[in-house]
Amino acid sequence: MEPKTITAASIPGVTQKGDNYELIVSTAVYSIEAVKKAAYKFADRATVMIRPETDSTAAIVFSFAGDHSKQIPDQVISDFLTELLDQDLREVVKKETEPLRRFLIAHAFSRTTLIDQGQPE
Amino acid sequence: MLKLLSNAVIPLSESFDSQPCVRRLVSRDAPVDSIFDFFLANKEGPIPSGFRGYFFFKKPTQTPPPNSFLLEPELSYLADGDVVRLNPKRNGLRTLYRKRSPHNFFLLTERCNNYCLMCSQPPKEIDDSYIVDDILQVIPLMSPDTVSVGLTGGEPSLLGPALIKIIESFKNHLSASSLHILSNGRGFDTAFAKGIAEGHHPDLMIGIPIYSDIAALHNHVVQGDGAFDETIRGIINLKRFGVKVEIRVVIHKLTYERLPDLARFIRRNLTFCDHVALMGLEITGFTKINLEQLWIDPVEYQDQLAEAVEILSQAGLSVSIYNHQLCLLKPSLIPFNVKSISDWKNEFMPECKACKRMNECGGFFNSAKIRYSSHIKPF
Amino acid sequence: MNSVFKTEDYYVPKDAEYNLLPFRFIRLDCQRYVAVNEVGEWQVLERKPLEAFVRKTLPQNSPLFRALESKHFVSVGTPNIARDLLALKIRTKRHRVSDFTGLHMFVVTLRCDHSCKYCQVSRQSQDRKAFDMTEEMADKAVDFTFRSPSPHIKIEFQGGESLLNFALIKHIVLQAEQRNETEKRDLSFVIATNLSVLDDDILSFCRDHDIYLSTSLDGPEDLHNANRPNPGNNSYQLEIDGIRRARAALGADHVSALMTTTKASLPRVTQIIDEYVSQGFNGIFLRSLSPYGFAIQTKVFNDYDSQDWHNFYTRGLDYIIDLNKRGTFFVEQYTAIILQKMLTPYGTGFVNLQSPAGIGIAGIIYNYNGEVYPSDEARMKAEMGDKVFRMGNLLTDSYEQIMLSPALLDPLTESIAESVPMCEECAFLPYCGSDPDYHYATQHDFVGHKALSGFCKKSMGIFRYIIQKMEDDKEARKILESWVRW
Repeated sequence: MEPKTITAASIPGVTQKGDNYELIVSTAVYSIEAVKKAAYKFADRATVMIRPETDSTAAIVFSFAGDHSKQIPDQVISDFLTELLDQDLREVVKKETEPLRRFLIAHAFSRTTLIDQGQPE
Repeated sequence: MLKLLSNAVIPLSESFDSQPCVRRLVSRDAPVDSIFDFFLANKEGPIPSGFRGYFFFKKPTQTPPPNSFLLEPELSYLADGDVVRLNPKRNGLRTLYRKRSPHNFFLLTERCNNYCLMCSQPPKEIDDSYIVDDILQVIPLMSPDTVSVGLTGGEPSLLGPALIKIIESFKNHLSASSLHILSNGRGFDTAFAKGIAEGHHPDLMIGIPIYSDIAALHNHVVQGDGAFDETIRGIINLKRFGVKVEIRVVIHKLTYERLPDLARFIRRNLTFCDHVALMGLEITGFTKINLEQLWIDPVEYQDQLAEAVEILSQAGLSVSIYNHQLCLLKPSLIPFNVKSISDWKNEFMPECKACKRMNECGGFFNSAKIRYSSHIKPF
Repeated sequence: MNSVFKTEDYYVPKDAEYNLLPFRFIRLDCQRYVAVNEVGEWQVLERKPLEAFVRKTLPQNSPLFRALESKHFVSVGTPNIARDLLALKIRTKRHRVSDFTGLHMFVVTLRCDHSCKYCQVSRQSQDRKAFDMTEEMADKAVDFTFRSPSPHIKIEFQGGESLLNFALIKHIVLQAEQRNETEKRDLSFVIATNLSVLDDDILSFCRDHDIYLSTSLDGPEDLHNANRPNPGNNSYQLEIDGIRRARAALGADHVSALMTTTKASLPRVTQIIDEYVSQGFNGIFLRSLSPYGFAIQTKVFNDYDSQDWHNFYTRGLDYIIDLNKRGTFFVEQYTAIILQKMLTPYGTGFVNLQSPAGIGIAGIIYNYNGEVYPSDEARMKAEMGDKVFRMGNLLTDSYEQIMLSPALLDPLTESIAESVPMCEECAFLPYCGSDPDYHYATQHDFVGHKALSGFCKKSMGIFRYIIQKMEDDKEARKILESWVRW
């Protein structure tokens, strides 16, 4: 996929500080869990650090030194933002479906089937 | 099969048994069973003694024996081994079983809890439980050579325990005959499915229709709230207890579009089914009323049909196509086609006159005169 | 009379509440996402409708909603058969786990006449009998094998060059068959061999006992010989002659070939496929190079990265699909295994793509010295000096001690994909597996950081490619579906 012709400075909330890029996100919008999960996934493209800023914001610091020097910062950060949105959406799905998922898996490994018990609520 | 003719039967002798009864017809010299067998005088010759009653097509020269009846010429199809229900008070005769027919079926009830848009046997809310009594009397009189028997309705599962009793009777008297029950499946809760299975009939299959992979669309076709869920639950229950299940789909304007999706749904969720039957539309019963909503020329859904058949057969599922004319089918589908229209129902159209493959083709239902494909072409 | 019948609108819920069923999603490419449910049914869609679906604003009579409903991403109305069917499917998908260990590998000798560059075995010359499995160990291994409750038992002979200890292979086959007279399992045998020491006695024994032969063919002659030198001989020619003899004696369906990929193979995928076609095979398994054994010592592994292999695979797959389009039925077997997970309600028996991992519980290996390992790769680690996966020894330990050893249970439990970072939310989880061997070899950790994992990159690349192909190329989809064994 072609890298977009944007600069990190043009992504809202991103500032460049030397070799590092800082992205400020609102923790009222994105849970810290979502941020951590996204950061974890990007370990091959940047070194990502998370730092609380204010009560309602956090700073995500991207470093492209060393192994990551060949990465394109704008692309990585843009992808990171998309991933953050995806993590948020996953949380919505998980909240609604996780109890049922555990129930179905437990039944998969039990001696009786769901049908035996009629229709569970 | 259920022709009720008025004045079909006229008593010939002075003394006759006026109670309605189920009797087997025998044209040979002696009865097989002196209680249930009537002599059928369908050829010249002496009148043997020992029969419970006698049927003639023309008045005999000698004095007719006690319990003799004259049959209407229309009943000349009756033959040795057939079973009838005789009602002398109403001069009525109903044919219940024809030994020579390769497609014997019994209607168990006209009641039904669905109301399918294309129902060929529109439901009636009546007490027809007498049918069960009739059938239980017929079964022991049927020929053990009977290859297969169909049980239909209405909805057979509404009979409840009586259905299990009927299956048991078939197992006891006709253990070599395969039994095929048409049902919407909704009545087979765990207990009932178990009861059916515990009868251990040696060759039983239940044919259950599913019309869509989407519950609402299926429910619309069968006009039943919650029908889809109950039907699938019934199928699963039957399979849990080892009863063979066939899934049936009637292809028409409301079902053809999602036919491949339905095939994928069956392949994923109901892989354990024993057969899938894809059927052409019969223009009878409710179909006539809903014709504009249902009719589509079969040539127009050949792509969907071919895709559905491929999806199912690839997975090793047994698939058959019924009630289609050979010239309308894509060539790749011909191996799946079964010549299925019963011999006494099928006909051909004027377009078929020069066709070389008429004996392979099932032809048409005689109801097809109302509407049929405009693409019929002789081979 | 028409008023008696209700219209479709009556039955189609307009604004009925709907409930999401468990599913995961991931980006497929620039434009699209793919959502996958708990049993591998998938739906490609763009992000906007995905979000609408999750936030309950997607219209229920839209084709996309109906597709999601049909595939059990959502249940409409309560209570609902969708949950029951999903429960049944989950049970069916995971059923094989309860079958337990089906693949039992016996390393009958470490002696070998070849010097393959990527070999995972310490090379011993042909006359060092200290590296042969003894009869006592073999008998114990057969006992151990039948302790598994699996209805299907496959005994696979490995080495070194396993046919160099053919006497023991015979002994094991006869023992197992005798044992099976009471056990009554579905018992089968495979010999992994380079076919160089094939003779008529061997072939007639194989024929009499319905034994399958699995051999190595890396590609055209020059490539094969460069990868797999046999000092003093033409390894390729021996191979081809061996295949011909074996087919003649056992039938073509009893002879299969596996390739191994090296840096030299990477630019030559179409030639390798052509070689397989001209040798009369109807399928190939495009394998990646494993990071085990001598491959690491000889630096072969470092020579290429995931992207190079991905190109090798995609070019190979496209070439094979094209072969099929032009009338030659030819299967890429790794793809076929994944397709089985994608398209059928069943799991697969392929031990390397399972979660929980197939180590020990799907496949197990009995080394020539009686040591028991949960996989061939684990055995390799031991040959390299790290016995982290050593479960025990047939001569000194009981079945329970070996199967309940922490050496097995720790990697198994720690690496379950459903409970590790990135995997637990990954849409491709139903198609993938945990690979504690690989991650221990490369990251010294049973779980591994998946963002840094070559296994993860390779796997995701393949899943995305297959799904895109099925979505965008109808003819290719039909061909791929025809590869699935139901």
